[in-house]
Amino acid sequence: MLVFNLAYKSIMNRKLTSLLTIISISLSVILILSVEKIRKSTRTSFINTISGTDLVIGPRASGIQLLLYSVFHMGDATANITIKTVEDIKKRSEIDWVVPISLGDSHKGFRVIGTTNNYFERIRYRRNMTLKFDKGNSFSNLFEAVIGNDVANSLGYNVGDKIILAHGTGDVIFGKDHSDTPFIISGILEKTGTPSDRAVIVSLEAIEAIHIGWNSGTYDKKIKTVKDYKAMNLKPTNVTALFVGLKSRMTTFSFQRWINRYSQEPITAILPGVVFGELWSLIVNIEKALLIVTSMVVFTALLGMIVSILSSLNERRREMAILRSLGAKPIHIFTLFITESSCIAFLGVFSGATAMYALLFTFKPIIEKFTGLYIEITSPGNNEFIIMLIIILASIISGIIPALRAYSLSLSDGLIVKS
Amino acid sequence: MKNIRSAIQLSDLCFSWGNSANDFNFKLNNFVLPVNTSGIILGSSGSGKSTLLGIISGIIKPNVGVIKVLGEDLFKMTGSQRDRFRADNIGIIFQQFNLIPYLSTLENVLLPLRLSLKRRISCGSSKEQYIYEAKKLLDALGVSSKKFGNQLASTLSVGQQQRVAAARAFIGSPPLIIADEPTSSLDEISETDFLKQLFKQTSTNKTTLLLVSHNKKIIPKFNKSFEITDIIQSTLSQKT
Repeated sequence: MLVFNLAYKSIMNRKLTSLLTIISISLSVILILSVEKIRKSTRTSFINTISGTDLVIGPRASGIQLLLYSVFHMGDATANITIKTVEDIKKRSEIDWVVPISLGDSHKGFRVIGTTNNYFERIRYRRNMTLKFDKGNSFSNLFEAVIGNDVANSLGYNVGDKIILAHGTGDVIFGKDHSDTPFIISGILEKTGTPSDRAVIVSLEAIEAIHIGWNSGTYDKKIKTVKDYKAMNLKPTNVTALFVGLKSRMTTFSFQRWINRYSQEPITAILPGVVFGELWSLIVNIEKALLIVTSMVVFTALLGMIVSILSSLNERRREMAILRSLGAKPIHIFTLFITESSCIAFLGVFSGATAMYALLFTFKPIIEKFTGLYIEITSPGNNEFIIMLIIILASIISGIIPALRAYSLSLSDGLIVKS
Repeated sequence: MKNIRSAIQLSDLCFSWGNSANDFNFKLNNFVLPVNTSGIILGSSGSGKSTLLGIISGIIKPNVGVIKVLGEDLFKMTGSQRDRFRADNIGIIFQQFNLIPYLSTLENVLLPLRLSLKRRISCGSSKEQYIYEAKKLLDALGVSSKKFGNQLASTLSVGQQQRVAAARAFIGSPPLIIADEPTSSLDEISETDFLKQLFKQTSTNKTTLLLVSHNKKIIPKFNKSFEITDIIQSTLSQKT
């Protein structure tokens, strides 16, 4: 008890130094815990980009490639699936729902997705959340489009505005756009933090319509009015990929096998979760690097603590001699210093963790708004506790260094201190 | 209780200590201080007095020799036993900087009680009694416990600090007080006053006092006086 009392009073006596040391430790704890939090959230929000979809079907390609262009709208599809194959798939008894998508056009750098109306109901994100309309509605006419939140914000669009889609995925180039067939914005989606934010969504028929008259890259304009297009009763001939929901998850693998053996056309089916895992494993090294950097920050903070205690040792030799003269054993001196460093470290870790949660509560909405990163606030999990425990243990261990020095000084000094 | 005649009895001590730069040799043939007496050792610094006090208080263990303090053979004790012995039986006053700066005056005086059950028991059985005893000593030594008791030790004047140190040495009535030039940082008037109160305490508590000083004027106040050069042969030689 004496040692605790002394340690407490001694820390309070050197308030400024102790406070600075506590702050530097707590800052490092804030850093390492938020990196851990963001790492976890990024991972979750990455995997939660798509939810509720059992399989993604596309032309035969690597799973990662298929996932990248169908879900993340990155890169281009190598081939399409014919509508006959789509019909064949739809006929299967395992199927609950199918959402086809058709890619290949863009609007000012934002990808255009041709799809059906059930896209908005079936494509879900983050634990089964559906896409909701911030303004307006889904498309009901041929030349209507729904745009993602980022598209509306960065281009300043509103419901009712007209936009022109470009052929291919580059910028709009004269002579290569679909300027004869402008689209009216019918709705704007709420922010989701998924690639849907950056998409322009139209019907499959509209994709068909804007490509009429385009043959081998040149444009031969014959049809003029929207009425003409409507009269044509357009039917898509092929799509880029399919999102599929099954009636029972039990049938996932057998159905995947059936798709992979489909003989009419080379197609492939992937389980999004599995491919997400493969994709994420590419990022694991970055995670490790982050962890190493933050550990170094913690290390520096602990080093600061050692330095501050060590540098106070000399002026405290007198104090140690007094305690020894009163009959304190050298082990008392050792314990006094260990207690001091442990108290400082514990306070640092505790205040750091508290501050981290306070910051999280304060900045969660702002982070979500600006980065789309959804951070779930949960009570500290195993990882956090392990990190905090490691830091406390490390600081106790580093407290041994000045404590040992104090121990040996108090042995050699005895009652005498040359001051 | 054993009937002891000498509080301190040292003979045939030999202690040498060396590192790469210095060799230190310390020899003592015979030194006896009877109980309930006050002894003064005269000597300047560097004459081995610190080593002598270290040996008597059990912090330094010589290579060979007989150390009997209050009838106990310190030479046969382990380091931990000697620490316990010192906590129970010896009050020590240094030349200056006696107090833990971040504790209050009262807390400083109470410190020995926290390290020794024996001294706690001799004060009483409750915290109130300990505090009462500490305040009584402070007041007796001329430091108003009411005024200074809760002040940080570092805010006291040097003279006051020495008195607080004396109060701390006396609390729990240890049978032996060792003082290492306790008045050298005080002016003459304070010195006289301090010594007067020191003797008052030793006589009321029947305490043996051993004091080291270089001030010959105070010799008459003591029962016994020693010249350090008569007791100790110490050499400090530098290696080349």
